[in-house]
Amino acid sequence: MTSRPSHYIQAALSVLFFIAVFCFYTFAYSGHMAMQEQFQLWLCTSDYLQEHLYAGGLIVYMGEWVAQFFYSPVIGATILAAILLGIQANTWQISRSKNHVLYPLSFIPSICTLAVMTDGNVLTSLPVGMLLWTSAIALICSIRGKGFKYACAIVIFILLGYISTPSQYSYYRQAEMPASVMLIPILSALFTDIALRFLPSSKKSPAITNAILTIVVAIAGWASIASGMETDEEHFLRYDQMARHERWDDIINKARNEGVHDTYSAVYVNIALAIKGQLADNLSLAVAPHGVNSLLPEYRGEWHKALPVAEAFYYLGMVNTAQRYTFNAHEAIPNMNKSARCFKRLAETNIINGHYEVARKYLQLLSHTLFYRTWAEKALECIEHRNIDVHPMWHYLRTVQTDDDYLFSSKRGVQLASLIKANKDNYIASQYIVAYSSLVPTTDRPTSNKE
Amino acid sequence: MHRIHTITTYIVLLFMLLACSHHVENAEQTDTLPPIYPDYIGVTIPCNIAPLNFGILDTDSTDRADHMQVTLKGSTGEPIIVEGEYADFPIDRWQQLLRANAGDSIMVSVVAEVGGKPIAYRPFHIHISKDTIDYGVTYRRIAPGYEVYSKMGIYERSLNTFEEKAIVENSLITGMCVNCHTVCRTNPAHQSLHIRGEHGGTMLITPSEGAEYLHTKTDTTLSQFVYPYWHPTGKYIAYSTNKTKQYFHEGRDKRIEVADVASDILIYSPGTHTIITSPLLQGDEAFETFPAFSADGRTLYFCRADARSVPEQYKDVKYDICSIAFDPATAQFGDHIDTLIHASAEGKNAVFPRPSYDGRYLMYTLSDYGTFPIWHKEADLRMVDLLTNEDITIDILNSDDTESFHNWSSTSRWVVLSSRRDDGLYTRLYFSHIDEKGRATKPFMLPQSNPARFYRESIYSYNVPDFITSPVIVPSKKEMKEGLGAN
Repeated sequence: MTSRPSHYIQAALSVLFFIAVFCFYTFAYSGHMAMQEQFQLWLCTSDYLQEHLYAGGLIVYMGEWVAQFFYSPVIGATILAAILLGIQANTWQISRSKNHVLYPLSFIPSICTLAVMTDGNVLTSLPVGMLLWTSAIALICSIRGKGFKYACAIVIFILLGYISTPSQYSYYRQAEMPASVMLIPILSALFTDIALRFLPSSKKSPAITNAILTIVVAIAGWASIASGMETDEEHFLRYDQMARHERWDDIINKARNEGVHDTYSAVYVNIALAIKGQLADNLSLAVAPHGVNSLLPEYRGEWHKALPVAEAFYYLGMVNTAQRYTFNAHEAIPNMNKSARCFKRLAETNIINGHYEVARKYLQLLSHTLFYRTWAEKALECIEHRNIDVHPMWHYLRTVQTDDDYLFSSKRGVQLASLIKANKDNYIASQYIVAYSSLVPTTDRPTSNKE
Repeated sequence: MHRIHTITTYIVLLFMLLACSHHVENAEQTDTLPPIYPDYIGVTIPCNIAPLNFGILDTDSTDRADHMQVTLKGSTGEPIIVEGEYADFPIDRWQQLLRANAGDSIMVSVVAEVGGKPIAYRPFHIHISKDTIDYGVTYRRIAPGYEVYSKMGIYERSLNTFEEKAIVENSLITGMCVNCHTVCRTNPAHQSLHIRGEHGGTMLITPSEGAEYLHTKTDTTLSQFVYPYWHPTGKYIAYSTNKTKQYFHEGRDKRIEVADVASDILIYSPGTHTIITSPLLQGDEAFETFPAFSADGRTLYFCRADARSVPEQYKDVKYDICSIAFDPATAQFGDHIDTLIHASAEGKNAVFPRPSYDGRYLMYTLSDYGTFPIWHKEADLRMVDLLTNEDITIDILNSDDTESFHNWSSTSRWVVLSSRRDDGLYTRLYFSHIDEKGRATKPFMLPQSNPARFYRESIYSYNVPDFITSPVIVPSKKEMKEGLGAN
């Protein structure tokens, strides 16, 4: 029987944990959460479910189903907080501990799972798998009657084994998964359970012991999470997330307040400044510290860094080159997933280029998703009625796109000159030329097409 | 009480059955042909092909029929009537009907509800050839991308069922690429397969040597072995060696240009592990590529273009189809080159020579320039009669979009061709019958169980198709990894 004060303390700790995780994913790690969503394509079709009917496939399906909600940072953070809280609640229930002083220890498996999830390659299937297993064990523990309990345990374990058996890419985006990704959450759950069952209860000053345990778990937890956080990558991913949702003012504000830490982030900052007509007046923000590569970046093979390269060329009006880098980003996803974000951009580049049948293929796939359906259906309508120019960006890019065919040149000055030659009203390219000219000698400035 | 319960159950079941069945009634008769996808209207098919399931699409290719009823009727045999969202023919009854009507045709009647309106379309015919088609085809399935590739592999597909299985996928070794899987005259007892990447090599399978793994770049060759073609005896295999580069278009209608900056041709003898070369096929002044042996194995066809500086003159690289004699007994090349298709003289470009196995015809791809016609919308198939050197008209195989790689069936009565006519980007496979006079029939798309859904949602292209007369057998994944030194 839980005493009323300890019941309140437990509830308060749980609420605090939920809020902490929610804030972590909303304010500190939303870029990583967004990355989970954008490099997958969960389809609401029977075929997609069938594709995952293999040992270890359904956990991928479930993880992707959950991760699609990360499209909205608030919903995503709420779901992840709920999952981790669920793991904690199950841990406590499984232990059947009457020692309420030790309640803070029940957060350890959730905190360990969260710490492991700071690695951007860990997939959402991991916390979902942890929740499934702890829920199943908690359910089995609650069953009365030995025979029935064992029968249920066998059935549930076989079922969960089929659902969640680790296979390549089921919990980790890269081909080689570090053993710690699975071991840390599982062993932490095991040792926590042993601790909750067998640690002696403190009869002297339980409230102080409880408070000390809470503080120790919180500090150790935060230390383990902070040590795993990919801070520089998170900075980039936040810019990436904002660029994807065309939050140009937020990008500029973030750059002014927090600085621009890497070249690919600088690419997004320069796009935002150019779109807002402020690039020429703000060369010190990203152009000066990060150089020519922050304007027209060179893709050096990192799988998701093809996206900022693609975005720069897209807004400049080099739609075919944007399409190429988007396709590269899509094909380079290490776990061979498909990407809703990339399909969306590929649909747009094909619409702008007038390749409607190809665009239709991507749009029809996106129309089977939850968060892209409305956009895809509107885009399909535009195609049906050949009403492309109602979309301001598509219309703009069609007007600035060059009609001359030439082979892509890696010489940046040539690229910018060709854009202005194609259309003098390309206001983004005009600003890029000013920015580019500030960095290169007079002789290399893009005054004419040199090829 | 029990009887009342039973009767109630039957009534409920009856209502459920009635609710499930949906007949298209009171259809409006129209003289137009049904807008079916894939377009199988008037095609000629082998009598052992998998069911040509199809759906109805409206003119914008988006709305499927709510419901359709399709009747197949031959002059003999049991008619087939199917109903549903698309025509899904039972495979056993389909093949019975085809066998019963081989050499004749079947009539296809379609009644469909599109947008709630029932329409009875004008019936059409599907012609059934007595010429059977081979067991299956192999192909590479890959996204039509640029520099990076995700999931890809070499697959085999049975042609009288819908069964597909992987021969080798790039998940075998992280970061690897597989290409140019080739068998000898459709017989998979001889195979050549390139695996590129850190642990790359060429896997060669012959009945006498088994599987061997070769690292084929030598001091005297330009590159690893690239485009292969088996000698009819299986004792030799011709390869090109190519230094290839990719370039990218910025104009909206083209994407990629693939060009050789140098290329040669050689022959490899698996039995003696030796390379046979000729100075006529190794010069710097010309690019030689895409070798193919004649049916009797005494001539090697290949493509040859005057060397140009690439990329500056990439549009001036125009290949002719040439030939050189080859004596399989002595493994000696002839002393001169003949030109069979002088495409460059007309400002055109001829690649992918594929002689029929009966020695009568040679099919090739004609485009404006370059070595990679798959990215050229103007690319079409052409055919020449090797007995008379006359062009044979095969316009029926071509479309406004790309037609590219192709291969002959073991009987030389069927060809498989890759085309982008479906949507302009994703390459699909089509089959056509070529009779002994060289007359081609309207190509039909590789059948799928639910083709509208399959092809509309598939984001992979089908590359380098080839017929096989039996299932492909390759070493286990473990053996392959060991052979490539990837363990």
